[in-house]
Amino acid sequence: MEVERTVSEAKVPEKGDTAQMSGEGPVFCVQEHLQAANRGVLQRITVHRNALIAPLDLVFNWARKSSIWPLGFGLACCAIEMMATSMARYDFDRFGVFFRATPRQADLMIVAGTLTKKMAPTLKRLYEQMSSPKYVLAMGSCAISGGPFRDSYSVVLGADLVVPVDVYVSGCPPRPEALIEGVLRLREKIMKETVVSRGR
Amino acid sequence: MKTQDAEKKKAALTKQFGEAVTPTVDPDGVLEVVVAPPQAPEVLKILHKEYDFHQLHDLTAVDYIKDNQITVIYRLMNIEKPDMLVVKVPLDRNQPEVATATGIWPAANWLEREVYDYFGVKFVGHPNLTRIMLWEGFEGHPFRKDFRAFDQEPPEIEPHEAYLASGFEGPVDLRDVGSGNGAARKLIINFGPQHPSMHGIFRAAVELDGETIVDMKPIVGYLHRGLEKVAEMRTWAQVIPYTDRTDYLAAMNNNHAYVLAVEKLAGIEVPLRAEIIRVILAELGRLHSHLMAIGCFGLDLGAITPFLYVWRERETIYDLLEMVSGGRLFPTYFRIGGVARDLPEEFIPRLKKFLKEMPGHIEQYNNILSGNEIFQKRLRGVAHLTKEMALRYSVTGPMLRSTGINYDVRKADPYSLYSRFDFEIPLGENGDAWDFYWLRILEMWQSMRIIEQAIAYLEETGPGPVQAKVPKTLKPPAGEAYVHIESPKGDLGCYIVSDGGTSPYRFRWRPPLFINLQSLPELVRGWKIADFIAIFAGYDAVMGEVDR
Repeated sequence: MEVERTVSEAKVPEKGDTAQMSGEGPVFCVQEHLQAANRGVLQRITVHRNALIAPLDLVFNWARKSSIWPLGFGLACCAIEMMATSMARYDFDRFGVFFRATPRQADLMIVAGTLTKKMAPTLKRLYEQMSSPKYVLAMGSCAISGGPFRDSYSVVLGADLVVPVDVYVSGCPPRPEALIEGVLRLREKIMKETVVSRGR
Repeated sequence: MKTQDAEKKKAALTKQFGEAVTPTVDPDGVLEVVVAPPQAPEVLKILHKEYDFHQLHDLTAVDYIKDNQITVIYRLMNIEKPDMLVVKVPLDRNQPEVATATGIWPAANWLEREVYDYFGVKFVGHPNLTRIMLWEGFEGHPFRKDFRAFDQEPPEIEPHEAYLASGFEGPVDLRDVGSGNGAARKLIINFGPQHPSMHGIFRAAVELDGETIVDMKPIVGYLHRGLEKVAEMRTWAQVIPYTDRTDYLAAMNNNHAYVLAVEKLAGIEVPLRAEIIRVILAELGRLHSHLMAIGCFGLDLGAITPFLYVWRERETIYDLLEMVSGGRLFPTYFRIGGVARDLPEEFIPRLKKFLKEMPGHIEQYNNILSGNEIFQKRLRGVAHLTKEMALRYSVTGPMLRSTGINYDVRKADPYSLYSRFDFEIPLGENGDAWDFYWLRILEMWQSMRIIEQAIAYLEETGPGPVQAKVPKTLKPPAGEAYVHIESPKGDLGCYIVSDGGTSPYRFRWRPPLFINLQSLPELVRGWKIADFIAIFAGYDAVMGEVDR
């Protein structure tokens, strides 16, 4: 049985996307442009899921989605709601989400709060320290677009200008239910991946 | 009484300095002195020595572009009386320079760096006048009214990489780290900005000799969002949600400071019922902030269970907040002239139930955390904050009270309805980490007492309006107002300047944590690295407020 699908449904950054923050700056480094280009190429190739790959996909994806370990990393106010999600009432652990203190053991980075320009290089480095496959969830309006601090001189207008974001969760701050929904969406996304693309 | 006292000081100052000073007394009995820049250091020194203003409460500036002036404002305090005095030093906008006050009050260090960062005011003689919130390489000074460079690029590399590359000769504080003895055995450890015990994104560079801390440098500014500047672009009412986002663990207390300041400026009378509701919510805010503080104490020292328990109560408080406003973390329930709407019917019964359960819960924390031998050994006798040191660094809040100084704004300078409630201010003795922890537990009991009395008062007064008549487009008269309240973290001040327009001309937040944090290096010096975590937990740091 052959199923036709595209490899990655992630948003490919267009050239104009980063223009606002000047894409040439070293913060938005060359690697990311290469990744974007690669993804573009991959998107054009249709992967044939054949009898060999399909079961592998299933096993790998199931394992990945069932134990998403995020980096315990709070930037601002949203981090408090992130903590609330992992506490007894909302019980993040039942989705296999368990916070890790180091990026080396983490699969998911939850950008919980306002990303300032001073913090941007550090965030990028943390992302690079995480091992593949890795995902990023932008939590709250600040991480999505700068939110209420969009007019400020020191706020990055969205975490996606620094690291590639998979899931956006809106709210200021998002309720724990919203964060759980975000992680569930990420699980769906992971299930659509195939070993050929090797995650990201 | 207060006014008479101020008049007396006014006469004395005029006699002493003649034409160099122009003192005035405002309606609240606060003496305001305008000093010419050359005489400023001398006047400040004498105010410190002879007039007993031994605490620098706040230091900030306002850019009056029309007069081509940047006015530096020193707010001095004598917390024993308590008495406040404002010193204004108008500077030439093109070349703003004034002598530093760090020699008189060490607390001026970071505050002057902040003013330098925001306004470009040069403090002559400052030991390390560099940017504190923004990074080196940032162009311009954002709080100047003619600042336009909003779209600057982020720094190219992490600031701390720059320090490492330059052998700690970097632009920020770190260069002071290597000043101790025994250089060969020195080890510099970097905590943060991403570290589980750093309560957000705080950075500490610790210099170690073995496991002992020789020196440490706190580095802040990783969450600097330019909140005060953004507030200048919003209308008066639109600023309320921004105040929520400063100290994000006690949003109601922040709202309270801001709305009180605007009401003072615009002369709005708040209905009694609204004020009682505000007190109830502000004390709930104190409760859930302190719950987080004691939970984090446990978490930082390796006890994860208490954190889960405090969240149980926090969720209950969130439910209550959700009832009144729909928001969990940020209710934004306070309005200028009252509150958004009356309390829902089910609120008071639910709150009463919560108050009934809470003593049992605190008992539980005492069983699992306070009574724990390991926990006590980690905290008792660790760090020693002396009275003198607390005054020197303008420390406020539970940390100040842990030294035995009885200063709580609710008693010392009563605002809102606090003067009619019966409560006590718990005091510590040793100024150690245990006192930082234990005072928060004791304060929770007092908060519950206040809430109980407020509920009784609310039922006694009966239904009524909860919102005063406030014009839709609020335009407070030109002028300024300063209100300070007791937030869970300390003495929180809100200073607003109006030019008669629809938005604040200047919005200044006196962040207690930012000022408290300056005492951290002196407090941790000589202790082991594990104690550093325990001491830092005592600050209950929230970076949203430190960096704004």
